[in-house]
Amino acid sequence: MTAIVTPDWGGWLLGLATVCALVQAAVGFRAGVVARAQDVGPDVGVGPDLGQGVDLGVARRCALVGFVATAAAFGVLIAAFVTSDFSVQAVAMYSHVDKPLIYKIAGAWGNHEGSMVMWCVVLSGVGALLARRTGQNRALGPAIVTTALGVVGALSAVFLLYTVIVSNPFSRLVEPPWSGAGFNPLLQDPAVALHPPLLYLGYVGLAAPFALACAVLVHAPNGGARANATTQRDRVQHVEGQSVEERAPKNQSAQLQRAQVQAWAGAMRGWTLCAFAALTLGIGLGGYWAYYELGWGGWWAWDPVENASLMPWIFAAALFHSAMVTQRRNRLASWTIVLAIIAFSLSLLGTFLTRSGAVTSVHAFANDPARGLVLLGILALVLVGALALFAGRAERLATTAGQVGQIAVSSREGLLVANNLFLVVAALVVLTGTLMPLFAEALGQPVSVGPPYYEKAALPMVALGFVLTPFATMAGWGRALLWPQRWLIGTVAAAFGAVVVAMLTLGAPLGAGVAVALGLWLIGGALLDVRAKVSWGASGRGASGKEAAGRSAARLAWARPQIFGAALAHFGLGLVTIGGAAESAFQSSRTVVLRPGQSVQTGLGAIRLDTVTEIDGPNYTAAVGSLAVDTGADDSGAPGSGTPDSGSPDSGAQGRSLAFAPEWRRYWVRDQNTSEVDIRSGVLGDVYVAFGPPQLTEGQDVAWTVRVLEKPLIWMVFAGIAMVAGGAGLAARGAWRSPMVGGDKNGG
Amino acid sequence: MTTQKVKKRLAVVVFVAIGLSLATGLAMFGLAGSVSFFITPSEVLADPGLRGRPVSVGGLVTLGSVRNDRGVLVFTLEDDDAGIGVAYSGASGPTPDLFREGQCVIAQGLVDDQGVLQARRIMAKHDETYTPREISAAPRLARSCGTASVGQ
Repeated sequence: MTAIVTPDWGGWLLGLATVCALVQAAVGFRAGVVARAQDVGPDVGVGPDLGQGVDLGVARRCALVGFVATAAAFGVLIAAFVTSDFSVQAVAMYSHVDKPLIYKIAGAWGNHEGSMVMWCVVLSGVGALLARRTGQNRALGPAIVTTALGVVGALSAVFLLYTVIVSNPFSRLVEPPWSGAGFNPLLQDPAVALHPPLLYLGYVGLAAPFALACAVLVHAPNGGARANATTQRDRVQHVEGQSVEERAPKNQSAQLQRAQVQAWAGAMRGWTLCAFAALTLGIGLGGYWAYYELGWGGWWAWDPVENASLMPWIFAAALFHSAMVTQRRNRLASWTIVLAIIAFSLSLLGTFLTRSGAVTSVHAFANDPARGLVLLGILALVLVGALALFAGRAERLATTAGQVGQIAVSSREGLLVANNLFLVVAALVVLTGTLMPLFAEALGQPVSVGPPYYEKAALPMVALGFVLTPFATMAGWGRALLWPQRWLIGTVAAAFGAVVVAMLTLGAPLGAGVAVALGLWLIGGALLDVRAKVSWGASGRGASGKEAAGRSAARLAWARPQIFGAALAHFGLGLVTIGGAAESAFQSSRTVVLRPGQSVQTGLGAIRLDTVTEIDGPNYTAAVGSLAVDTGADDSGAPGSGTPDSGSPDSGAQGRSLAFAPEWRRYWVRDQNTSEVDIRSGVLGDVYVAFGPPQLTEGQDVAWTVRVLEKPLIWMVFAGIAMVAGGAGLAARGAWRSPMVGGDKNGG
Repeated sequence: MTTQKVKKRLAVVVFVAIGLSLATGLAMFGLAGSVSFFITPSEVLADPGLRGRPVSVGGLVTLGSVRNDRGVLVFTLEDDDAGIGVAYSGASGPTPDLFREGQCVIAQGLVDDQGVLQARRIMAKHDETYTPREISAAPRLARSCGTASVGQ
């Protein structure tokens, strides 16, 4: 098989994909130019005179062929890694004969060149999906879809050219080495293997709302739909499912505009929710890996590359909340479009920061200023181009038709606007901190910005957002919060205060107390939301004419699960907040140096190192420490209450002794060491033991450093993140469909 | 322009102003005392005014200087001209796996009155090909942390 399909095919396939992408871009560009030249709106149907049907067909075929070609190229690359074909430069640099098979495969995308190919695969995949979603495309109209495909094609072409020219993974070596140089043991881990694909689904997924936003801007009609009357009627029939006679002619353009806006806002919302779910999982997986692998028990370090993934995540959240307002109430259309542009630009910024070495980070792949400059150029082109398009065309969006008066501050729209404000400010603050080292260095004095900045500056905005969240789910569209709901504010404030005081008595800092209270508030709000939706469904208002009233909650959850998506996600946020606060406020840490057979008494109990045995793994030798640790806890692994090393001698008598077997590994290939922690998880928290490095003491005995951490409620952090992703994915299910006519405040 | 449009524009301007002021205010509040300057050991010795302010010191871990003093990691960090003592109690985790003598690292923390850096965090390379920008750009580390790294 390898004799027929050589790695050179990879390069040719990428070239084919580039050609398809260029044709796609040209076709999309043509559709836009023609529409503007003839000054027609996007509601114009398939007309042979405008050739849009033909254009769409060409664009769709290019998108599909391009995706197949790019995916095949990626397959060729993976095959080269799997067979350890060291004549391919990327394989020689990043793989090794002794790597287990699954990490050889993951190694294909665990480096700069290979991951750029994966980026291109996902981007062309987005294009292919955009092309295939016929329901969505009917509602949007061929003009917008063609231009959107064109934008995706242009982006694909740019990135494919970048990959092929600047970072080609298929370049060959004349003299292949025997075994390969790529063997970082830290990267041989299932979480690390899955982390990039999930992140890329998120980053690149945001290209879809971006492309839709650009297409909407290009095709925004010049003040009302000056379109062919017959085709207009055809579209109206198609979209609204009603006959033309039922509607007065003067309302046609308003209804049409409303339907159009609902279509693109819904599509943007759906795509963003999917990208957001993937990005959430990717970030969560990275945090989880850092927790169990790096040995310091932390899961988020406000590292510049971590922040680079957080910023598109925040903007994506702002985007789907804003798109909801646009879809339901025909408002904030321009704002939604700006958010779509910025969110994708932040994805590109993230790519630039990660790959260029411009900021010091534990994640940076390598220092390559040349590649970084090209990426920066691409980012500038995309951002400036899209913003220029926006500046020129935003006024034509003209969605005043269908808007009802002013936004009441405590209506759902008003609260969502506030939500957007807080999210965007938080993201700006994170952006400032992340880029500050870059600017400071340019000005001569290098600086670094640490976690205290982010905690002080960004978290207050997040907290404010969390306060408003349950109110927003309770509020109705288009009307202020009802008085009974306002009464809630007083009760809630009192309960809040009570929780904070309780936390302070337990010895937590004020911030942790507030965080726990907020988390409980979010969870309570989510449960109230579920209850409201269930009763709404049971009353039959959510049912279409065919379905009977009085359905049970279970049937509602089965038939339309997407309405519970928001509640699930908000519940998850609450869990993350509580877990994060508990583990940082109440964690305890003990570090001791022990020889085998030695035991030490600490304030929280004894730590005993029984034996150290040497075992051999597939590509390493490990020293396994057999430890007995008193945790001042019961046998579920629950840690005791917070104060570390309090010095009272009898606290060790309370708890059980837990056994641990952490390892200190030495990998043969590079004489590189890692420590593998052992974790005992329980409902009340984790006990986390790290082992090594060894030291020679006087008398030439080997002593080992042992570090014991107790992390209360840490499982809530990761469970909560998973729930946020799940909730977003669930909500995506119904996002594309226009909401029902006359939907109540608690509907979908 | 209709009043509706004027009102809408005003609302947009007000929102942008609020947003930017909030962001700027929070950023300034956060930056106060959280920004840490990057310097080399010679600069630590030369400027007593840096004591008590968060700093990141980059340099070479002197061969033979690493020892464990009752659970606190003690070593000497040197550049081409001078060296300072560093003490790390493990507050932010065990030292990175690639921390060893003859390696170039960045230690972040506060310099105490005796001129010893009480480090809160140690950052070393995470693989052979990566060197933090500040180290490769610092003139006083050209010899110590140059391309021919000792003891790797």
